[in-house]
Amino acid sequence: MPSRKSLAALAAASLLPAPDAWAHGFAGPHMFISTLLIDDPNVADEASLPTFFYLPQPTDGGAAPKLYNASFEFDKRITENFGFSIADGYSWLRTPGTSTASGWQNVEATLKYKAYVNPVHEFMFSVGVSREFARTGATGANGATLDNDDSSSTTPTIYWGKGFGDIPVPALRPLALTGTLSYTIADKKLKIVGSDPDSGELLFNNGIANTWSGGLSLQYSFRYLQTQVKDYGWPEFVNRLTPVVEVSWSSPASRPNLDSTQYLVGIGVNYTAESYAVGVEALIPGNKQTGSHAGVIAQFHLYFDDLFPNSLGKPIVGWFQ
Amino acid sequence: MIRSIPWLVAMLLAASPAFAHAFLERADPPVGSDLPTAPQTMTLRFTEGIEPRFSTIEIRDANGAVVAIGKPHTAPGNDRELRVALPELHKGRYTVTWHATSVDTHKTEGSFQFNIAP
Repeated sequence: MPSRKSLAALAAASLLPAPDAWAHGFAGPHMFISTLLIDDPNVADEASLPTFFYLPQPTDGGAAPKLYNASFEFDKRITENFGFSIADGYSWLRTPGTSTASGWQNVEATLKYKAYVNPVHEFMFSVGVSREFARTGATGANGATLDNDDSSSTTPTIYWGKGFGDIPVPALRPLALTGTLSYTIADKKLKIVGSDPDSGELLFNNGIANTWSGGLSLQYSFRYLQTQVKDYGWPEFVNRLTPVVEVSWSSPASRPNLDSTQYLVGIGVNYTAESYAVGVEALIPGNKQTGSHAGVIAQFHLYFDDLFPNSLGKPIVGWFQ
Repeated sequence: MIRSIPWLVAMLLAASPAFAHAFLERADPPVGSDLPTAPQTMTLRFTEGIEPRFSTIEIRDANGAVVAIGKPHTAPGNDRELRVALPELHKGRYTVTWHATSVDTHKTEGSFQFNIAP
């Protein structure tokens, strides 16, 4: 039975960027980039391979444990607007003075449907549901240290993106805002099962609390500026850049719970070529429950619809036509 | 499942990794430009080869009236450039709306303005 102290060790694990598909997509002339902390609203054929994540964890004053994670995710369309993804990752938690805990995260699969696109107003809306499969990653004490849930969970999510191309201020038209909102429902709810007779510390079962989570990204596309607003003659390399700010958030939604509300801010840039993208962001913990120092996230992203337009890059239903 | 593996391998080998979405790379007249004289042609250069039969250019004047132009065509030996001859344009602001289909059928679109101000 894990105690509050042991489960709080890996505070930012719930904000790890593994589970979903950070796809890209067009709404009219606006392309939403592959964001790193939240999923974007598009459904596509692509892969993030890999995503690296590093963030020093919260500390009570001693040396901060350091969390490293390498993850991958694969996304496949079944029809034009409906697809699935599968994601996993491997984590290392280096705590000074103790051995390093390491292991796989639980596997997560997602079904996602792009329900609405308005090209004129550069708007996209999608819905999805994810399933985390308990005990598919590291288990036991190692798994608990890495915050792998012992309970499977289901997470309905809405995704949206809005380009600013229809506003009358030219310099702001390259902006786009994307967001997600999720509610995680545990198969096995967290419960208090007693207290430690010596310390009085509460003891819990191996369930988990329900959780709200979500995030926002604000993007400024130099490509959009160059092709839709004004061409300043910048080099093509610069035109492929999109500065981006992201915020992800998670908060317990049921009692009892063992986690705190966490905020993680990412500030960086995305480089989008025809068939791949590279994103790098500095990570800034939004509160002391999220992390103790700045971290970093980086991702290499492949667009299969551009790399393999006649096979992996088209919907599965199209393979048989 | 075993029987499907050779089919999947064959499909991957048949992939054509040379093509992708056709992004607008440069326009002439340039996006958002102020021109001292009226241009005689419009050229849109894309990052990938495009299919002119399924690509369009529309130009409207400041009143929203469509400017009569011909069917755009690719430049000889360069399927990344879409060109169209322009009639005599008067001073004022013009809005260009384009739709491009790359040679692997990916579609992109965009719109921009230029101004003729002698």
